[in-house]
Amino acid sequence: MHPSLSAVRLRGATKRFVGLGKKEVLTALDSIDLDVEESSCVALIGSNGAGKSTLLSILMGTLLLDEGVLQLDHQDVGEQPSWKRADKIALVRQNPEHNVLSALSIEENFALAIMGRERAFGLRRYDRDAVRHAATQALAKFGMGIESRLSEAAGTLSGGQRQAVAVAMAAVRNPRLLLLDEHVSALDPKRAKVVAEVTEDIVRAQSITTVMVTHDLSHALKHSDRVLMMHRGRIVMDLSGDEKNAIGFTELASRFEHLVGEALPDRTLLAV
Amino acid sequence: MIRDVLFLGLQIGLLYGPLALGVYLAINVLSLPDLTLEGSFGLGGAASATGLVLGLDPVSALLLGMCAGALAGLTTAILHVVLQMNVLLAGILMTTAAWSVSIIVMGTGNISLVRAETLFVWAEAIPLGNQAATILVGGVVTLLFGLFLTWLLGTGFGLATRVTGLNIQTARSMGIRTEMHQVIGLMLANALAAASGALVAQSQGFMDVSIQGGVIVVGLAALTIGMSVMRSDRIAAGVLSVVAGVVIYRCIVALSLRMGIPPNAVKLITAILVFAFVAARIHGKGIFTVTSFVGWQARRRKHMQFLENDRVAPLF
Ligand SMILES: Nc1ncnc2c1ncn2[C@@H]1O[C@H](COP(=O)(O)OP(=O)(O)O)[C@@H](O)[C@H]1O
Ligand SMILES: [Mg+2]
Repeated sequence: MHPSLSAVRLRGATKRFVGLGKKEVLTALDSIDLDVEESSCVALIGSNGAGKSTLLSILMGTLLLDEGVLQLDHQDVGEQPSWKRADKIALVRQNPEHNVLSALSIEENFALAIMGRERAFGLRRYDRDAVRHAATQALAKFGMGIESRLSEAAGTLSGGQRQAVAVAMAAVRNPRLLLLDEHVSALDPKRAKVVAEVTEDIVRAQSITTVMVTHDLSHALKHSDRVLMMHRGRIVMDLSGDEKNAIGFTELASRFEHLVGEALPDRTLLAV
Repeated sequence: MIRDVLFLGLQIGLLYGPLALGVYLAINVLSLPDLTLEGSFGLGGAASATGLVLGLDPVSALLLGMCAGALAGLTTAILHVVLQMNVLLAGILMTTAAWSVSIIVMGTGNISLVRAETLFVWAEAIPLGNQAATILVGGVVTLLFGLFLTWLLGTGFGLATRVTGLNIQTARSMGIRTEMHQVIGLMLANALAAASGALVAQSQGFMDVSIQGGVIVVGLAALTIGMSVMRSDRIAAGVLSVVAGVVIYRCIVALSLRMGIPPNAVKLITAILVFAFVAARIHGKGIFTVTSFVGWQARRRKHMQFLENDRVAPLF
């Protein structure tokens, strides 16, 4: 892989939130420079409030930058609204309610994903057979049997199943950039493992550039090409290649604690 | 008697069919509580009546009325999307303004259409009688708009409109330009309400600005009754149920008048009816029955949870 093939480029990216008092300003992203190599998988870790979700929202376009430049495939997209970026970027959030429309059928959700890929919501009905075919193929990988329930309302699915649907919808969209914001952290450990692993397979098979936020340090080490750690709106650690391969979980955990100045949440340690 | 009531319900109810469809589109599909629909009803009547007086044919006059409604919807949508105003507030102001605009359009508070050719005069050429002619015209117009709305909401564009009404954030990250769907949806909904205003003016043979007063409640009654009769997420069922709702509502009004309730009480009955259907939707049929102590306790707990979850939403 050539290093100049950067799919995402951030320069001096800054995002501030004005507090309730209108006087205190919280800098959620503090002049971040970042290049993400094409087809690579980047894991993003950091304590609560570090700015990870803010960074993903900036990439998706649901939040706009105060300062700085955002390029996707060497094109400035910082001024584009999220709906214009939807043919290039897909975001899977932590809460299934925000990824899948419960009131619509699973089939209709996939139809939306496919129409969103071309941003073509025209005056024609969607091609039912094509949608069902694509949905079945994408869902079968999860082995949860969702592919046989395409006509049911998505709201009848469990949280884990809905996250599987969300990832499958993203796979069908085949975006240039996939953003995963703790997309398995609301699931029970068994389901979380299945969804995370299938997501991994899909990302590798379709070689989608991916940024995934995770609480699970060992997962971050094992399944990514690069690990970034954020703290108070800055990237404080950037590991890849031999450096990343050399570091173990304990080493990473102690560096995390050193940089953040606080102990890791129990949840993270238990996830080992 | 039952036949009488049913025919009266159909006769008047179907004139309000397009309004019910507009209310369904704005409030149910788009989740926008747009009160402009009431003003558009009056505006549609005014523009259509003026068109007839100026010598337009009835169909063109109906379309003219609908354009006036669409313009009112566009204005509300711009107030909401561009000026970031609460839809409820924008609608209240627009409806107030529409009253004056209707009078300005007509040049006076009311105009007679006795000498004008209307859709209903056309229909009476078929020797069926006045009532049947009204049912026929209202039915055909409502059917056409109902089919159109069902078709539209089934297309990719319509699916995107539905998603806009469900979750704006999710819709946008799916590639849907939500503000455009709100603008077009409100224009269409108000055009439908205006079509009802035009139909009512044409059928009664005169136009008076006061016809718009309180019609939003007719739409709300249609929506709540319709949703209680038929519970389904399917679009065709939703469209059918809201039209059924408006007919049932007018049947209930006709029945109350038959039973000797004074006409002045109709608005009170309507309000009580809407309250009852909404309450039944929220609480199930249980609210009207006396239950055991345990049932009462459970209900009390549910109510306390509601108070805990209650939030204020600033209007400005
Ligand atoms: N919409 C918002 N308004 C105000 N402050 C916000 C908003 N979103 C996030 N923040 C603040 O920005 C900081 C970073 O938040 P976030 O990106 O969600 O952190 P993370 O995902 O890493 O836990 C936090 O301090 C949070 O309170
Ligand atoms: Mg977060």
